[in-house]
Amino acid sequence: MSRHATLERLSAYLDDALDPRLRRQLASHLAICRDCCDRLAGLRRAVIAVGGLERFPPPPPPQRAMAVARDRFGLRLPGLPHLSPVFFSFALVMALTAVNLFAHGIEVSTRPWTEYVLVTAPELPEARGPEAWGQVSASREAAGRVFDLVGDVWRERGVGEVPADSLVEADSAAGRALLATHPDLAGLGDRVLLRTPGGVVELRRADRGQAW
Amino acid sequence: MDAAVLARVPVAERTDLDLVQQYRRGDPRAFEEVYRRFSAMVYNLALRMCGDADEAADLTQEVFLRASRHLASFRGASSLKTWLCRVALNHCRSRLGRRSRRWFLPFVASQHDALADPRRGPLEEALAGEAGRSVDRALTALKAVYREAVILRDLEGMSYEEIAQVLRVRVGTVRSRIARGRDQLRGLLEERP
Repeated sequence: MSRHATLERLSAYLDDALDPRLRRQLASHLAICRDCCDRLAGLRRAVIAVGGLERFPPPPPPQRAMAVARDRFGLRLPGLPHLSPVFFSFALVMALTAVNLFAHGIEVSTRPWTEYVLVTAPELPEARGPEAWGQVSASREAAGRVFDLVGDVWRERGVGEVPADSLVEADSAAGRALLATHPDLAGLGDRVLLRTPGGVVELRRADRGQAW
Repeated sequence: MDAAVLARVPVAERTDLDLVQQYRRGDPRAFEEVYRRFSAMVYNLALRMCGDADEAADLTQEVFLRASRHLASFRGASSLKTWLCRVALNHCRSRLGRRSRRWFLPFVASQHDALADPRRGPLEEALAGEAGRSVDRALTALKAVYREAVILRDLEGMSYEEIAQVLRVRVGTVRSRIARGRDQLRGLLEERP
């Protein structure tokens, strides 16, 4: 190496960042070139000066960052991979919605048929015969009995007062049992008053217009 | 490293990637260890970049706040050290860019006094303080890109490759910036001994 070394090469020499061949060449050159030696010494002084700068201790851990780190795990479930707060919130809302819908579904399926008003005795005229209940628009036999249509109610002929709590839902166990033994009752209509061994009842179905 | 094996390794002896893994698994102690390892580097880098102890403390807080939010998504393409260093430098540039067109402010004498090491005697303190002020003044006068490179290399002891990752430039560029920065610094120190 006859020419002076470049600045980059001298700097890299200080950092031991030259490949061995270049390093040997530069070392040989430095042995004979005072200018390059001086420049190298100057660079070395700069390196030592910066390297000797005092390093100050950092401030205490930033509480906000630590809080973020801690909060991040407040929602973590043991044994599960990390759930981001957004995902966790979304999953929580969906789970609560599902529980709510499930509970609502149970409520609907077990809810009594509140749309029916119990037919109680005081609401009905006394039983004195078909004419006593109003105009009979039709008569028909079913289950070996005679039924008169008064208004929209098929009333078994001779049935008098209907006691309180006499409603039997067609879809209930008792209603289904009644219709199983007397299927032709289903052809009468939505409301049928008839005598049973337990007393006079009104047989009704929930969804009017649909088959029993 | 397997979670069961990792659990038996003391936190202080875990690798950076192990710490990230531990952080992902939900152990906030991993973040505390990350802070313990790198806070001095971030703080001193910010201090030399912005020249103000309070601002450096704020920047350190910002950097680690950002780290706490993004550490779990750290994929290890670079080292944790270079990643934090890049975040710190970007914060410094952003803040200083907003505050002034200058990148650097003088590291004023009062900063050295305020941060003096109480374990040193008065004479040692005075000598160290004066020398430090002189070098800081010279660093302040350097062009920004040279100053970054010199600080990362000669103060933080990073390799050329690490600096290239931090600055997102080629290694050859890093080599050139370090050399020119050192040369300018040499000139400044000789002018103002």
